[in-house]
Amino acid sequence: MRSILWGLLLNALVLLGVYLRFVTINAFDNLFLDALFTSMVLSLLVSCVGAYLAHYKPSKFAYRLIIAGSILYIPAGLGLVAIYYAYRKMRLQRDDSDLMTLYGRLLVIAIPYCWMLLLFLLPFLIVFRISFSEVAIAVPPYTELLSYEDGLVNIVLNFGNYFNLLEDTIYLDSYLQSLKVAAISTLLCILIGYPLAWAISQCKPSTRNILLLLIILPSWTSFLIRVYAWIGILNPNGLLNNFLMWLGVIDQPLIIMKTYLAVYIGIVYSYLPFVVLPIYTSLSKVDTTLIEAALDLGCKPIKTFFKIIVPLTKNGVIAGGMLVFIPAVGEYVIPELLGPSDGLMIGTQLWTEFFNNHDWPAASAVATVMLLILIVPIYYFNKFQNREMGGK
Amino acid sequence: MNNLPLVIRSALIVFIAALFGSIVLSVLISASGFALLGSASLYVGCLLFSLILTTIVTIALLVRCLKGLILLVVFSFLYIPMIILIVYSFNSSRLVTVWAEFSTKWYVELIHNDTLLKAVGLSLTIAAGAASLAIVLGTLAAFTIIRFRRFRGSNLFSFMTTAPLVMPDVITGLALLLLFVGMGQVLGWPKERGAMTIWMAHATFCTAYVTVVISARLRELDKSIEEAALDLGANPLKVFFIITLPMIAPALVSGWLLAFTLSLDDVVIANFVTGPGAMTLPKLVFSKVRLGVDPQVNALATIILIIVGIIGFISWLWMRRAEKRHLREIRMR
Repeated sequence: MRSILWGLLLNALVLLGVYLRFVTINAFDNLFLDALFTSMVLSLLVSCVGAYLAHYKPSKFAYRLIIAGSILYIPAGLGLVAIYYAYRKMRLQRDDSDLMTLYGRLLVIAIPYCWMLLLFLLPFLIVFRISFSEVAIAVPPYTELLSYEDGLVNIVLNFGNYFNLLEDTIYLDSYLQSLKVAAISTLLCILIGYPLAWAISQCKPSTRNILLLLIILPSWTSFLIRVYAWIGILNPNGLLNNFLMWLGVIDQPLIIMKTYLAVYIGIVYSYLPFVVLPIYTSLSKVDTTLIEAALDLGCKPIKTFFKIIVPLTKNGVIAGGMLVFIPAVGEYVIPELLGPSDGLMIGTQLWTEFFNNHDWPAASAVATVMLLILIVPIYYFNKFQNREMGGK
Repeated sequence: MNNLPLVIRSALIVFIAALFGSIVLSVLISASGFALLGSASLYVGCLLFSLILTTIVTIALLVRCLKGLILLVVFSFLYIPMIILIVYSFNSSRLVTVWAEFSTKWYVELIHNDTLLKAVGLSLTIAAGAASLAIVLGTLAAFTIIRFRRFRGSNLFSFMTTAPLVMPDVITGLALLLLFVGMGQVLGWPKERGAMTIWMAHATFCTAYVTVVISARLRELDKSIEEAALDLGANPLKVFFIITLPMIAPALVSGWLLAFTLSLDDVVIANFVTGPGAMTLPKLVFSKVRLGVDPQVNALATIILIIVGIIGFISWLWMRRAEKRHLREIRMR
């Protein structure tokens, strides 16, 4: 196995040599040479897949892949190394039985794994990389970190974006404001959601289903429209003010629209279903005999609640709270539509940097720091989610 | 203290909690912050609020309808804004807050709005495509999580399938855009960012939701049927298509619908990964709503609410039927 890997490494070195040579003579303008290079890259990938399969479970198929991937490298002479060793191993293998049973499991894992790796994890690394570059007037509007010039590889790291985050108080204030808004909205959601979940869990099973459906139903409609509904209500000449003035409670319209109060209302309204469902799930799992036992033994209702029900539903509350807190920190739509126009929310700041200032590196730095702040809550959310998924 | 009747004691607790809670919350929420502590109106307001709350809760406790009260209050909070939205879509005045007379002219305008219809078509296509891809990926991912459990890199895998549930949209959008730009530079594809890139982006975050839905169903499944089929010599692929797939079909349907609505709803990620060329429905609605209230949006919202309401009603009927069948089966035994 090791000798095959050495052979593949030699192939990779050949590829690197070809690349450097092609760059210096500008061979990529030539369609044939460009196609040749692309097929060399692809065949190296094929033989790497083969090597991985051979490592996972050896089969003739895996070694055939290695050989097929190395054919293009024969002209360089070095491709023969990998082919020779792979062929020797292949001779020793028995004929393949069913490839589906051999590699089926691997395939099932690999497809979603690779997709998420490519479209979820890799992008964050790119964001991290671009946060170290500088703004440039180009397409795309940032400088490259690596440059190759006169046989020298230059790496330019620009920490300016991060220093800027520290120096400009706007960013610090925005992070703090976002965290505060998210934390208070989460608290409000739990304060409203917990009694609601309790009330639902006390109903008859058939009513319970209808109520749960009614809780979920709003989240099937458009998020934007639910936020929009509040604009008409909270406006200075909106329905709430008209109603209160008609009642005679106030004679001046209340200014709620374009303040943080409206942001709180919007977040609580939009995210409430996400809190109720996990709390309801954990409440419905609580063994009622425990509560009866505590009450029978003379524990007061309030003490029973804090000593028995709260610890048993803690996981649901935390999971629900995280489902509100983490997205609310980076919320953009609600502060943009309901919040103050000079509002300091980090989601809005990122948006402004990106779309109005076209400063992609600065936006990446803002996103990186936000991610660093959120990584601990996300980690805990993942842990609780897994615990729920594990069924324990 | 112990001799006091239960109702008075609970009323006292509610009053104290409400008073402290409302003072703390108003200081935290208001713009002026701690300066508010000096003003008398805060205390008067909070006192009034807690008195009213305590009275209502006490009466509810006495009449034994606290449960109904909570349900009534929260459900009116959830549904009144939408009812107002629907009512005012039939208002002939352009001002949403002033009721003039009943009219359906906004619906007529909506039907003749070509940009909007095109946006609806594009959004529906993207949503259907993204939901279908997400179902395939999500089924595989759920299968991996539930059936294979631990393998090398399984921790990373579970992280990658749960993190998109909570990741703020602005971060996901920015990250995916930079990925597409980088791919365009290195691979030469995708050359332009439009429906294609939105489709890939939506499929990615929808996969996470679909995975949750399907793995919940997969966990409850009886594994012995599959094992029996395997023992009798069926190959795993056949077992999956003939036994597992029909058993998780309801979860597939609800997962598909969830992914569809999520994709139909997203504005932030779509804004990041496309230029102004690909106008999806949420992008269009967002650009309208930003400018203020627009009766056409109300009309559109009403249509969406009605469609969702019908789907909700159907799924309720479905659920009830399944439950009745379940009960009958139990009785038969």
